Amino acid sequence: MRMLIVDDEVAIAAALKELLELDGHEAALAQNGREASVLLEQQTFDLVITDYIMPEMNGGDLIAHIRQHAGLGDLPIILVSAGHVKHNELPIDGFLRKPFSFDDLMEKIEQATGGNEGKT
Amino acid sequence: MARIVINRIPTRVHGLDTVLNGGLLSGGLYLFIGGPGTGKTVLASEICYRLAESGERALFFTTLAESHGRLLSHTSGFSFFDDSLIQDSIRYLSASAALTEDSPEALRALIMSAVHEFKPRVVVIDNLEAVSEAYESRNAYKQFLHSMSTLAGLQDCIVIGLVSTSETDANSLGQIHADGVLKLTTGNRQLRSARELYVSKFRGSGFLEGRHLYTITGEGVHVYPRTEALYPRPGHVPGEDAARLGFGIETLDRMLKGGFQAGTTTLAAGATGTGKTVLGLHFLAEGARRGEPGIYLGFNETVPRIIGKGKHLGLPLDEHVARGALYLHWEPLKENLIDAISERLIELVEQSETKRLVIDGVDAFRHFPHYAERLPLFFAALSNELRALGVTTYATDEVAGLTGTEVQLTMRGISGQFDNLLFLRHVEYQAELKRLLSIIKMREGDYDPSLREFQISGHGIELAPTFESARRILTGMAEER
Repeated sequence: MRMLIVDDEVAIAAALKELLELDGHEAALAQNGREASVLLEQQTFDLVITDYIMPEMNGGDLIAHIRQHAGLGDLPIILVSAGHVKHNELPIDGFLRKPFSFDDLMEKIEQATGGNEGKT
Repeated sequence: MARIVINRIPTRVHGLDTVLNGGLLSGGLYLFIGGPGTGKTVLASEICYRLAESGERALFFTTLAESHGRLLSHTSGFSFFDDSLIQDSIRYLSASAALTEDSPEALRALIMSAVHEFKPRVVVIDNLEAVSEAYESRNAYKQFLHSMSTLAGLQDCIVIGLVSTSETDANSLGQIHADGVLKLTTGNRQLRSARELYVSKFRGSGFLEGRHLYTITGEGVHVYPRTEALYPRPGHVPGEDAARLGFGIETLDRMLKGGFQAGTTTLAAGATGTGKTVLGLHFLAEGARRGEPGIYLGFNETVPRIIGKGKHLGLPLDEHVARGALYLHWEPLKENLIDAISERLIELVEQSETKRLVIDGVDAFRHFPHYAERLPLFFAALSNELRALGVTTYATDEVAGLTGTEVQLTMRGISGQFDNLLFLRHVEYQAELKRLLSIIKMREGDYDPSLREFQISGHGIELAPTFESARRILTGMAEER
C-alpha cells in the first residue's frame, strides 16, 4: 500500500514512514496541506494520514480539498491530532488522538481500507 | 477537555516505583546517568528481567566493546537473572559494529527495525555516550535522540539510555530531550559508602523529590525512598476521647488516666538500667493480653534474651509470640540504612495490624543515617505514618549519666516529635540506687505529674502508690526501712 503522511512534526512523520516501510508499505512525506495537495496531483496514493494543525494549509482544508477533488474523492483519510478536533463532523475514515502507537495506527488503516491494506 | 492518559510501566525494581509514582511513562526516553560503578547497567538489566518475568519483552543494545558473554556473566550473579528468558523475552544486540563500521545512522536504523520486529516494552542503549561521540554534529545527535523518543511513543515502550559520566552537565542534549532523568551517585561519607539516587526530571509525572539511598546486592537494586519524602503528611491528632492503652501496672495506668491515647507516640528517656525496656515489655504484654497485637523492635538485645527477660518479670512473652499476638524483632547494630529500618517496620506493622509498638533504643538511629540533620524530620514522618496506621508507639532513649535529675536526650530536636514523655532515673540514696519515674508531658490529656519510686521484681514493675517515698528519697529525709 502506498501512503501519504502529512505532518509538520518531521520526526514523527519520518519514524512512521520508516515503520510502514519495515512492514512492506511505501510512504511519502509532506509537511503541510499545500505540499500534500501537490503530491496528490503528481502521484497515486492508497491512503492519507494527516495531522490537523499545520502551517500554510491545515488538515481540515486538506480533507476538504481531497473530498472536493474529482479524482480523489474516495481516498481513505486518517486524521491524527494532539488537540481537540470535532472529528465526527469531518468526512474522514479514521481518527487518532496523539500520542498514538503504531499498532493503533495499523488498526485504523485496516478499518479504513476494509482490511485491504496489501503490502506493496 | 479530556485528559490524555499515558500508560505507566512499573520497573518492578524494589522501591524505585515508589520514587517514580508507579513507574516510567510509556512512550518516553529516559536517561540513567551515573559514574562508573554506580550500577546503571545492573539497574537497567534488572528492569529488563523483571519486565520479562511478567511477560513483557526487552531489547538491550550494547555499544561498548564488552562482549555479550561478559555482560551476561556479570548479570548472571544476580537472582533476577534467568537465562531461559534470553532470546524469546530478552534480546541482546551489539550496536558497536553499526557505530564503528557503518555510521550512527545505521545504528538508528538497526534500533528502529529491531524494535519494530520484536515489539519490546523496554529498550536499553548501553551507553549513549558512544552514540553521541559517533555523531559529527550536535544537531545530528539531537535528531537521534528525538527519533528514539518518537520511536518509544509509536511503539508504546520506554527507551532507557545509560550515560556514564561522573560530572553531569545539566545542559547536555540528552537531558534536554529526555522525558526523564535518573541520577545515580556513589561516594563515601566518613568511613561508610553511600549510594544515592534521585530523579532530576520526569515529564508528565510527579515523583518523590530528593535523594534516596539504594543498595546493590545479589538480589539486585533496592531503593529505599527517603522516609521524610514518603510520609510527609501530618498524621491525625488523637482526641481526648481516643481509647487509652495502659501498661497493666495499676498505679502507672492511674497516673496516665488509663494509659496513653491510642495513636500517640511516647518517649521514655533514662539512663541504662532504669527500666525503660522493662516498661516497654509491660506495655506489649498488656496489649497482647487485651488482644492488641504488638511489635518489639530492638537493637541491643536478641529475641531469646528479651523472652528471657520477660520470664524474669513474670511476663509470658513467648506465649504471646506463639499465638501471634506479639512479634519480636532484633535489628543488630551494623551499617544499617535508616530508611531500610523504617520500611521494614512499616511492613511489619501493616502485615500484623499492629496496635502497639515498642522501639527499644531510638538512640541507635543516630548511628544509621548518612545525614544527622535528617533525624527530627525522619521521626516526624515515621510518627505520622504510625499514627495514620493506628499504632500507639512507645520508644526508649538511653540518656547519658547513671544518675541525675536532668533529661539530656541523645538526639537534638526529637522530643517534639513525641506526644508523651516519661523520665526514668536512678537516684543514689543511702548507698543504694533507687528508681524514680515521672511523666513529663502528655500532649493530649490529663495526667498525674508527681514523681514515683518504682521497683523491678519477679512480678515486673511495681510503682509506689503515692509520691511520698520519692519525695523522701529526693529530700534525703527517708527513714530506714
